Amino acid sequence: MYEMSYVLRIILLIVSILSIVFVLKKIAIENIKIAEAIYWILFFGVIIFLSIFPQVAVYFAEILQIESTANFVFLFFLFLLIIKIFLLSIKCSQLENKLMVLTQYLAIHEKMGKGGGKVISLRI
Amino acid sequence: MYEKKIKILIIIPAYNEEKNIERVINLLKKKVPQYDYIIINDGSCDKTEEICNMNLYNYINLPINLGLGGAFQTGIKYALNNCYDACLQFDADGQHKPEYIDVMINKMVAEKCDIVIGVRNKGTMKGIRKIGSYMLSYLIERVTGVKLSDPTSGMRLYNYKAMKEIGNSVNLAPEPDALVYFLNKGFYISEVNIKMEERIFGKSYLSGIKSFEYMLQMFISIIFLKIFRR
Repeated sequence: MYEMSYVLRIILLIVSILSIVFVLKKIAIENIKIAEAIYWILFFGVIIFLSIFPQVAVYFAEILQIESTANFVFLFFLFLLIIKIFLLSIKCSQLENKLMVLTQYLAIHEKMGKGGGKVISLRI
Repeated sequence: MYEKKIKILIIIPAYNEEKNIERVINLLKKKVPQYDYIIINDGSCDKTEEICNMNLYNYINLPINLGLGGAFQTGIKYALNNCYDACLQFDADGQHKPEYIDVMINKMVAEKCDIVIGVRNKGTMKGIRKIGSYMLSYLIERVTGVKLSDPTSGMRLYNYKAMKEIGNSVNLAPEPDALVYFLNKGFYISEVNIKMEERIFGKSYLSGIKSFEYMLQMFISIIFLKIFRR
């Protein structure tokens, strides 16, 4: 069983601290909603945790019988990212749907405004 | 005697409140007819819109659901466009009592504060909600040095200065972390004791896993944003 090397741990630590600062800066200039940024702050928080306490990663790598701890770390974050992509995909569909409803609502209201008549509810 | 001096708008975000909205609005009209109100129908899928339309209530209809933050911001934007001096956030579920609106406005005028929070009696809250409220209030005190006894209360009065901030921001939903933001910016927040009714129909939007998520978001937001949001 390989331990995580110091080089990898230090790189993970530095990169994730910089990333958290980046995310917080983005919140400060209101580029991202806080609710969305929470995931990323926690995500980098976990990386920092694992680089400071690699024993946790070693323990799980042993349980899962993964030979190198670094591989476990990669697998774990790959999984988290795939979940996030799936959630984003759901969100994207919802947004598309909302945009469609909104466009139809606007267009029908404009038409009604010009020609008169009763507005039909378009709620989803 | 102060009522004529400042123009107040009562903003009532409503999502699926067909059972409550009529009762709440009638009570408002009876108790405080001197103030304007606006219902923000946040894309409800029940009869909320029909009820508002039928009774000729003053309402804005959002074609899609934006959530509490988006709905409240719509009301704020409406108020800014119509030259109101202050806005009151009021729940559509009948938990807030119109009797306290005057108390809050008088407090705002007397102390010249920017935000007035209606503070509930701690005894009436139960279980996890009470613990959550205590934790948030402790955290806010540690971060800002100001003691807010009930940061989660939904009955708040904002003046023009605060309304402008909310109207232009994407991150100022009417939640405790927004209060921290205001405190950091040097806004003066004061509190008024109010009583609350028990909810008669429907349930809170915070339940189970949602409330855990909510707390997590509030904590991270309050702790980190103190440093970065200016």
